[in-house]
Amino acid sequence: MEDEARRIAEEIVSEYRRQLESVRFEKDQVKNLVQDAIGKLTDSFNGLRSSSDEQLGLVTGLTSSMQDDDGGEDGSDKKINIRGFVSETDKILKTFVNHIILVSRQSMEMVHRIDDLSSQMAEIVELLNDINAIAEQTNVLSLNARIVAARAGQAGEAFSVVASEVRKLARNSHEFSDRINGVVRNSKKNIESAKGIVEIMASKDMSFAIEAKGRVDEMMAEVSEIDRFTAETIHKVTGVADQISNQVGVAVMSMQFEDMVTQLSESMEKKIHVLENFSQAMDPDILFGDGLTAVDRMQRLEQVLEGQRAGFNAVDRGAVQQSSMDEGDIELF
Amino acid sequence: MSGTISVERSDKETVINIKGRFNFEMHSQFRTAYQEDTSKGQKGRKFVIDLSGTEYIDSSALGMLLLLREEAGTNESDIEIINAKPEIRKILETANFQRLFKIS
Amino acid sequence: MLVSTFTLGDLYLGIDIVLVREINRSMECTPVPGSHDYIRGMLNIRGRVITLFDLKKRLGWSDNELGDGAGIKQYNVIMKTHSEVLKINPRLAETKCPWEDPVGLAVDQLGDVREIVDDNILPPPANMGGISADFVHGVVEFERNLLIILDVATVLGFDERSSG
Repeated sequence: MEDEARRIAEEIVSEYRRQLESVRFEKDQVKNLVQDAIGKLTDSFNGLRSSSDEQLGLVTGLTSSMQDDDGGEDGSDKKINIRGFVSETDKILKTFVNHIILVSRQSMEMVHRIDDLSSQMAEIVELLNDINAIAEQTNVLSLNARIVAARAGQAGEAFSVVASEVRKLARNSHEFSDRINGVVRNSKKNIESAKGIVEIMASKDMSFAIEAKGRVDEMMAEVSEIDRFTAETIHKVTGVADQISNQVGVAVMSMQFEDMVTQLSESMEKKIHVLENFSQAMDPDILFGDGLTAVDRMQRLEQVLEGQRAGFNAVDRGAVQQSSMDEGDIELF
Repeated sequence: MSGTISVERSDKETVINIKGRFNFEMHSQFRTAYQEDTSKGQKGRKFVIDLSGTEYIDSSALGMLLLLREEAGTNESDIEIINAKPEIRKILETANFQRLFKIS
Repeated sequence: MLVSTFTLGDLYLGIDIVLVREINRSMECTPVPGSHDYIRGMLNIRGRVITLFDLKKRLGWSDNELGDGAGIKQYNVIMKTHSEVLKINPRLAETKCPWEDPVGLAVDQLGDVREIVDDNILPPPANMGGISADFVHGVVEFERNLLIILDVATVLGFDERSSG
């Protein structure tokens, strides 16, 4: 009877120890699984946050490259963007208009000079007419001189020779001025045709400039509208990214229950340890040893119970009381 | 088809009124209109270009206005362009004339 | 003989230089009311009053043949009078210069003074354009032109044949 009880007791203790080992193993497994999952989740959330930040960076970079005003100014940053293109077009248009006006101004100045030249030519013609009038008077005079010489007969012959020489001079002078007149007439024709060419250079219809300017202004307005829309979009994207960041923060913070799990696991380990002690205290030799009275056994059992209680109490005092993170401050962990 | 120019002179001011098309063909008329004042070398004379009757303007007219400004002495005289129709005003502004003339 | 030449339209005319007193550019003249249409008017040259004949009208040219601006840029050939010629060439004065009043002829362009060999002077051809043979003393072929020497007496209305 005694031996039978001792054998059963030994079996109980042995089974009890085995179960304790199993509990310890599963507890460790839970702990490992939780730690592993927390690690992966934290990595994943942090990855999400950095992806969101990267996305925001890309959007901001993309739109700022579209808006970059000073892109071509310093020459170091030759980014092509719409605003830059439009303002460059505007600049080219202005240069073109200025050029046309400059050409017109210079052409008109040339026309003034040509007109001055024409009036000087007219003065030359006037002078030539005067020369012709003088030549004509000389001609009449020489003719009259010859008439007088003819009346003088032989005596007038020398006089007549002089008179006809004078007449030749008058005729030469007339021919000469006629030739000058011809040259002047040709020059006038050339001047008129030069003036025609200058007219073509000077006269440009300006409506093209107005139309082009209008289109550039329209484009400018459109670019401003795009800029406004872009700024709005960036603002929204930034808002969304901030939200993601905040939520990821909350999630990562939530992942810190790992510490609690560790503490609970340690507490469980201690309790398992206490239970192991109990199994040792419950050594069948202590209860079933030779010559032990019933009172002795009672006393030994009470001692074991007391020891066990004390062990559990010690473990409980150091254990975490919280069951939810919401109930306490995270700083406590 | 070109325009006509009329001139009104007072002691200090010459008002040049341009009607119709202000283009190349007007160059003699336009020059004659101010030459009397500018050739004397008189400083501080005011020129008023009245475009109320002007229907069209081309680049040669812009050139003529620039020459008037130069011959009148850029700094000594002020030149005012008045009553330009919206289309013509647009051309003057595109040419940046508001920096060189008083446009009103 | 010496001939003073000038033109009248297409005609090349000449007058014996002894009969010519002087040549002037055309000037203002005072019309004579009631006179022949070929009397252009009266000229005053240095105090002498001269009757000016419009030669074209005297030759009977129509208005068409007078041409544009007729008389505006012309010359006046002022003739000597009978007594003036008499002092130089009495024979010529008697035969070719019967007039005593100072007269002049309005012509177009002045020519020159030409020396003509008398033997080369031919009688006027039968049908000359622009001038009646009555007014022609003779013609000379001169540098491919036909120089018509005027009979001034008939031009001025002194009919040589009827008077003597």
